[in-house]
Amino acid sequence: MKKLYFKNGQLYNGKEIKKSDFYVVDGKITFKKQEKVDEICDIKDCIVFPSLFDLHTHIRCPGEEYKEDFDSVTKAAVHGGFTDICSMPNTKPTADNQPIIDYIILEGKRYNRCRIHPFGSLTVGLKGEKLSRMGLMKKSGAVGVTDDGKCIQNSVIMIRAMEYASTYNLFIMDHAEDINITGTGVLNEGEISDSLGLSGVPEIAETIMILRDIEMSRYLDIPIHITHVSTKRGAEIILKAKNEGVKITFDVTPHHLSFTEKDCGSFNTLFKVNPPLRTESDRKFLIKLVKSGKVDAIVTDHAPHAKFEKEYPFDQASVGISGLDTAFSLLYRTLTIEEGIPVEKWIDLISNKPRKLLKIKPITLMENKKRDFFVFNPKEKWTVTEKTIYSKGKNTPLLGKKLKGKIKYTVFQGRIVFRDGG
Amino acid sequence: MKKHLITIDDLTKNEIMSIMEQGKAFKEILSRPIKKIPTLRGKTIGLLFFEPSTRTKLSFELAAKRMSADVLNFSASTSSLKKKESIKDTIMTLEAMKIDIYVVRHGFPGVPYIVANNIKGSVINAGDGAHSHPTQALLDLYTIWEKFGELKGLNVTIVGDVKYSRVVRSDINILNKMGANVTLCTPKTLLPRTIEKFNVKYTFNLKEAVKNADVIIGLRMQKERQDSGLIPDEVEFNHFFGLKPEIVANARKNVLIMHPGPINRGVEIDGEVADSENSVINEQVTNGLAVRMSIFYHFVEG
Repeated sequence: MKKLYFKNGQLYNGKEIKKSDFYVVDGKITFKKQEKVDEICDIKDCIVFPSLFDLHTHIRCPGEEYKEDFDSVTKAAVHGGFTDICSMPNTKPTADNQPIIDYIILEGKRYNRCRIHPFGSLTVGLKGEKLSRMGLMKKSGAVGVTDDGKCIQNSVIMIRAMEYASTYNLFIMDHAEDINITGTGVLNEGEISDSLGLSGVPEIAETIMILRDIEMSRYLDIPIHITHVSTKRGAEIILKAKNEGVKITFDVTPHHLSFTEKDCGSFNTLFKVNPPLRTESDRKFLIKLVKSGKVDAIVTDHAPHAKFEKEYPFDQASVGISGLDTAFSLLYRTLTIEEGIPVEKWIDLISNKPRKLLKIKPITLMENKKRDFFVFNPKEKWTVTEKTIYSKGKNTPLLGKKLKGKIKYTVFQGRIVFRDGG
Repeated sequence: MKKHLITIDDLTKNEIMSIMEQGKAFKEILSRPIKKIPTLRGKTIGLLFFEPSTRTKLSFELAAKRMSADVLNFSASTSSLKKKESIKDTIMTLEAMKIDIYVVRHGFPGVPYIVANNIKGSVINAGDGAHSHPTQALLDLYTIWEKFGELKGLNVTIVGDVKYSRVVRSDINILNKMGANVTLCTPKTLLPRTIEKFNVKYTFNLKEAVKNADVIIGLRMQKERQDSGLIPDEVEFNHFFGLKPEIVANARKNVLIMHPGPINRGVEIDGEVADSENSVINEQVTNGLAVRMSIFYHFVEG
C-alpha cells in the first residue's frame, strides 16, 4: 500500500481544526515523520475532515442503470466526500430479498471506492401489503429497512412491519407522507402552486404521517427515524415527542435547507422534489435546528434522473435532485457562508451522526487509526456543470452555478479514491 | 410588445389597450361582406393542441385564416399524452417547418414555456392546465370594455370552479391590472387555499357576491370535480351557486352575463339567464375572433 504525505493543511480531530501534516501508512493515519513516501499532497488552505456518510441514496441499480449505475454512483459519492452511502430499496427489482442485498454489496465492493450499505424494503415490492424477508436481508448485510418514497398507508401493516423489523434490530426509516392528501400534488401547496395552477402538497400530508409514526413508536416502544422532514411543523412535532421520551430521530436534506417553493416559480423541474421545497419560514426553521444541534442527521436523498425525464411538463417530470456530488459544497454555502455556522458545528450531521444511528463506529482523525477522510478547500471556487458532476444524473438546480468550497481528495481505506483534476 | 403571450403579466396596460383598440378595428372588418385581409400573408401559424378543444381552436384558426396566414394543425390525442410524449421532440420537428407563431394548448401548466425555450418564433398560450388562458382574458376584457368603455371601478363577480380554472387566473390578473374590483364565489373546496394573496374579495354567498355587480362571469363546472369529491353533485351546486334570475336580480340593472363556454344549463347557469337580454355569451365568441386577430397582429409585428 502506498505511503501518502499530506502537508501544509489543517485537520479536524473531532474537537478543533488544527494545522498539522500527516502521513497515511497501511491505511492508518500517523503524524510521525516517514521516509520514502510515494505521494506528497500539498493541501495548503485545505481542511481534512472525517469522510461523509449518506443515510439516503437512490443508487438506481439494479434496474435503472440509464439513470445511475454502480460505477457512476460510487464516483459521485467519493467526489462528494462520501465513503459510505446507504442505498434505498426502490431498485428494479425492489431490494426486498437477500439476493438483491447480496448483489448491491458485491457490486459496491467491485468498484471499491466506497461502501454501499443497503436498506431493504419493509414490504414486498414497496406495495405496503406483505412483509419483506427482513431477517434474511439483515443476514446478508442490510443495515436498515424503509419503504422510502412509498410510505406504508395502512396503519396496521406499518405496525406489523415495525414490530417484525425490531425482531432483527433493524433501523427503521420512514418517508412520512399521506399519499391521499398529496394526491396529484407536485410542489408545496401555497402561493406558487396556486398562481401556477399546479396541484399542491400541503404540509399536513407530512405532519399527519409523522404524528401516526410517533404514536406507533410510543405504543410499540420501537425507535423510528423520519427522513427528509421538510416542514417547520413536522420538525416541531418530532421535537415535542422526543422531549416526551419517544425514540424518534429525523433528518433534513441540503436542498430543503437551501431552496424554497419560490424556486419552482418558473416551472423549473430541477426543483421538483418529494417532499416538496417549502416556504422560507420552513427553511429558516430547519436551519435554526441545525444551528442548535437538534437535527439528528443531514441526508442527500440523492435521486438521479436522465436528462429527458426532467424535460417533461412540471406535472410529469421525474421527482428528485441529484445530490451526492454537490451536497457538501451546497451545505458549506448555505450553512457556513450564508448562516455563519462553522463546518465543525454541522459536519457530524452528515458523517458521524448517521454512523451512530446505524451503530457503525464513528471516525476520529487521530494517530494510528484506520480512517477514511476527505480534503476540502474552503477557498477554491468551482462551477457545477454536467462535466463536473460525476453522477449520471445531472438533475441538480445548481447547474451553471458557482460554488465556493471544493473537495480535493477523498481517501478510502488508505487509498486516494478521488483527486481533484485527476 | 414581448415575443410571447403566455400570461397576462407579459403585457403592460398600454399594450392591453392597444390590443383592445385594434380588436375594435378587426371587429368592424368581421362585419363586412369580405372578411379577409392580407396582414399575415406568407406567415405560418401552427396550432398545437395537445388537449381537446373546439371553440378556442376554431377561433384561432379562423382568426389566422381571416388574416391570410397559412395554418398548420397539430392535434395530439390524449393517449399520446399518457405515453409521456416528449414535447421537446414534437417542437423540434415543427420548428424544422419554419413556423412563425405557435398557438399552444396543453393540459399541463407551464408547457408554453417549454415550447418558447425551443423555438425562434412566438408562442401564444391558448390555455395551459389551470395556469393561464390570456386570450380568453383579453376577449373577456374586450367584451366588458366595449360595453362600459371604462374599466376602473367596475364590479366583476366570477362564480364557479376557481381552483382549477385557468380562465379565472387570467381574468383576475387582467381585471386587477385595469382597476376593476373582482369578487369570487365558490364552495371552499374549489377555492385556492392562498386566496388571500389573489387581491380579490370572496364570499360563499352568491346573492351577496352579485350585489352591485356590473359583470357576472359564470364558469363551467367540470364533471370531474364531483368525481374527485370536491362537490356532492350538480343539484346541490346549482342550488347554492347556480346563476338564476332571482339571483341576478340583485346585480346592477345593466349587468353583463358572461361565460367562456361551453355552458352547462341548469348547473352553473340557468337557461333563462344564459338567454336573457343581459347575456353576451355569444358575443364573446365574435369578440374572441377579433381579439385573437388583434393578438396575431401585435405578436407578428413584435
